[in-house]
Amino acid sequence: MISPPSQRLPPSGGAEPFVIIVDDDASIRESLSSLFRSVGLRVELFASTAEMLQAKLPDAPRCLVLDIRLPGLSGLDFQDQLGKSDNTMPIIFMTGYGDIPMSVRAMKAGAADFLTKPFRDQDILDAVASSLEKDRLRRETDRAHASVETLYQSLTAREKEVMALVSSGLMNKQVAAEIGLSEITVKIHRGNVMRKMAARSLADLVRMAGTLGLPTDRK
Amino acid sequence: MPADAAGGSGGLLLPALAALLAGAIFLVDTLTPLDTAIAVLYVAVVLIAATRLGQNGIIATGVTCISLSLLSFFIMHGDAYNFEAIIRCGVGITAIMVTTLLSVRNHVSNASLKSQAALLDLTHDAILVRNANDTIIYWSRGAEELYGWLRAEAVGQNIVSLLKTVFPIDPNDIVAQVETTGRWDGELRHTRKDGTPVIVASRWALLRDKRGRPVATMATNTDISDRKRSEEKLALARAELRRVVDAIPGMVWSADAHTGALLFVNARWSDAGWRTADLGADWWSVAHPDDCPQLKDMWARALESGHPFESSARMRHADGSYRWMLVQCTPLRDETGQIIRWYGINTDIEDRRAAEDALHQTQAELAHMTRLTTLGELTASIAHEVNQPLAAIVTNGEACLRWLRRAEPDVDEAQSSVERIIANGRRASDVISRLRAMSRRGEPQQAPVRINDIIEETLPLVERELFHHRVELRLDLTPVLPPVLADRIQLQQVLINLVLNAAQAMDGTPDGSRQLTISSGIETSASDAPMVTVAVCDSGVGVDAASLSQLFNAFYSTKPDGMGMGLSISRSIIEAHTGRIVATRNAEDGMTFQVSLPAIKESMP
Repeated sequence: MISPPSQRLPPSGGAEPFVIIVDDDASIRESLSSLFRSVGLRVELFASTAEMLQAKLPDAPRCLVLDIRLPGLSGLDFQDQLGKSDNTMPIIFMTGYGDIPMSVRAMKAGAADFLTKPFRDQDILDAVASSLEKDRLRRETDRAHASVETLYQSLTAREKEVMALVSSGLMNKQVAAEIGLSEITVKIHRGNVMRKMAARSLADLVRMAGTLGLPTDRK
Repeated sequence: MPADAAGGSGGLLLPALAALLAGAIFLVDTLTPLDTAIAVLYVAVVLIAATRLGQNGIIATGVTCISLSLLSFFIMHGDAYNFEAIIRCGVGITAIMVTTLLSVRNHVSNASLKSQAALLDLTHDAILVRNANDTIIYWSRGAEELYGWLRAEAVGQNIVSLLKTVFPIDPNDIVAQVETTGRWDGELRHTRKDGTPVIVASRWALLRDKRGRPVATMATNTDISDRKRSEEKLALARAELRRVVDAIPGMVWSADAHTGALLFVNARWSDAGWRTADLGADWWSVAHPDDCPQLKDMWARALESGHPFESSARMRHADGSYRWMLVQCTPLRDETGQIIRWYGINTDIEDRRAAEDALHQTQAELAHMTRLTTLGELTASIAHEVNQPLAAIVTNGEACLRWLRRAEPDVDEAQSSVERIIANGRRASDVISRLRAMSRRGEPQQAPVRINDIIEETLPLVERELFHHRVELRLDLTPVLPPVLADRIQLQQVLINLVLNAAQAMDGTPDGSRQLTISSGIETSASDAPMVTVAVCDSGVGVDAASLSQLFNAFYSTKPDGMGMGLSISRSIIEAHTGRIVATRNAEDGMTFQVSLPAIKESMP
C-alpha cells in the first residue's frame, strides 16, 4: 500500500499529478482506471496514441501507461517520437507476453518500467508512483532552471564573464588578471552578479552556474 | 536323236566310210563274176549308218543298199536269170532288210532310255546311285549342280569320302534299316567341291537283283540348307520371344477359350512357385480366399461374354505370402470373331499399393499437421485473446479490494469492478471454446450457418496476425444472406487460411497500403442454385499467371517456408461442401480468393 500521492507529493504548479493510460482494449483501460482511482490518482484514458496527442492535458506531473502493441503507431515507435519532442514523460510499458528484445529496446530508450500482463497491482502502482515522482522532480528542475536562466539573461556580457570565472573558483585578483580589468572593477561586477542572480552566497552562485551548464572547474 | 542324225559336226568320217564301203561292194558285186552273195556285205554299211543316223536315215540307207544289190543283179544277170543268182540276190536283200529293221528297233529303244535318263537330269534333286561298296555309279545333273563335281569326276569315287558325309546317327544303323525296309530318309551334312557345307534331306531306296540281293542304293538328296537356316532363325526368334515373355515383370498366361484352363505361363509363375499343371482351370484359386469369389465370378463372366476384364486380388505365392496383383486379360479372336484363346497378365502391385497407402497416410498426417501449424500460428493470437481478459480480471479484482479497503469503502466502484471481472471472465471463456472447437478432430458436421457469422467469429482469431503484418482490414458484408450448409470450424479454417495468406502476401508492400477486404455476397445464375460468396481481397504482391493455376496443388507454395498445404486443404474442404474456391488476380495489386457455397432455404431459427 502506498499513501495517496496527493498527500506525499507537494503540489507543484497547483496541478494534481495524473496517469495517462493508452490501450486499445477497453477492458484493460477500465480496470487500470479503477485501480488508479482507488488509490486517489487521476487518470486520462485513450484508445490510441493519436487520441492522446490530440487531447489537452493539464500541466501537471504525469506518467504514461502504454500497451506496447497498439493499432497504428506501435508503443515503441511512439516512445521514440516522444523522446524527440519536448513532451517527455516517463513511460511504463505493458505487454501481453514477455518479449525480451522488445523490453530491452524499451528500457534502452528510457522506459520507466516494463510489465507483463497480468501484473500485480503493487508493481504497477509502485512504477506509477516513482514515475510521477520522477516527473515532478524533472518539472521542478526545469522550472528552477528556467528562473535561473531568466536571471542570467539580465546580466551584461562582462558580468556573465565574471560570473563564469568566479564560479570556477578564481580569486578576484585572478579574475582581474584574466580579463585585464582592475580588481576594483571586478569586485563591482561581482557584486552586481550576486545581486542580479539573487545569490545568497558564492556556493549558491556556483550551484546556479552548474544549473546553467557553465564551466565550474578550471583548475 | 535329231542332233546326232544330222551327222554331227565332227562325224563326217563314218558316213564317208559307209558310202565308200557301199561303193566298193557295188563295184565288186557288179564287176566280179563271183557266184557268192556279195550283197550280204551291205549289212556292214547299214550297221555303220545305224551308229550315227536316225530312224529315217537307217531306213534310207537300207533301201539304198537293197537298190544297189538289185542294180548289180540286173547288170550281171539281166539277160539270163538263173535260179542261183536269184536266190543269192534274195538272201542279200533279206539280210539287209533284217539288219535295217533291227537297227531301227535298237535305235528306238536307245532313244527311250536316253530320254528317261535326261528326265532324271531334269529334276533339281541330286540323284546318286552307289553300289554295295559305296562306289558312285550314277551322278545326276542335279548332283553336279548341288555338289560341283561333274559326272565324270564323281562316278567311281567312294561316296562317303567324296562328300565327307556326316550322319545324324550311326551309319550302320542306316544300312541295317535300308536292308530290312528298303528305305531310309533323314538329314545329312555334306561338303561341296568348293568346301562349303550343305545340308540335304536324303531319301534312300535299295535296288535288288532278281534274287533279292542288294546291288545298289539310290539316294535322292534335296538341298535344305536355306530351310534349315530359316528354321534356326525361327527357333532363335521363338526363344527370344520366350525370353521376352519371361522377362515381362508380370505373370503372363494364356488360357483355353472354352475350359478356361491355363495353357501357358511365363517364368514369373515358376519364380512364384506355380506350374501350369498345378493351376489348371481354377487358376483364380491362388487368390486370397476373400478375393477368390470375385475373381472367379469375373473370370466366369469374361469367358461367357468375351469381354476383357481387369481386377485386383491378393495372390498366394509359394512361400504362402499374399501379394496384391492386378489381373488383366483380353481374348484373341480369329477372323470370324470366335475367341480362340485368352491372354492375361498379373502384375505385382503390392509395393505400389503399399506406397499409395503410405502416401495417403502421409497426406492425412500432413493435413492434420497443417491444421496444427495454422493453429500454432494462431496460438500467439489466441494467447493474447485470453490474456487480455485475464489481465483485466486480475487488475479489476485488485482495484475492487482497494475500493473496499478504503477508510470509507466505495461499494459502487467495487461493484463495477466485479461486473467487469464477470464480463472479462465470460470473454476469456468464449475464446477458449473457440479454440477447443478449432483444434477438435473428427468428422465434419454440417449445419446451416450464416457466412457473416463465420467471418465475425474468425476475425478475433486473426486480428493479431493482421496487426502484426500492419494490415488494414475492411469489411464489406452483405447484411442479409441465405444460410449455407457447412461445417463451421472447417469454414473458419478456410477463412483463416485465406486471411493469413493475404496478410503474408502484403509483407512486401509498403505500410499504409496493406489493405485486406473481406466481403460477402450472393451470386445468382439461371442455371445453378444461388451461391453465397465470401471473398478475401488483398493488395499484396500477387502471383504470376503460371503460379495461379498451381496455387491449389498440394506442396505448391510461393512462400519460401510454405508447405503448400493450406490452399490445397482449403479447396478440398470447399469441394466437400459442393462449393468452389477460385483465385483471381486483381486489376490492380494483389489477389482475390473467392469461396462460393450453395445457398440453402431459410429454415434457421
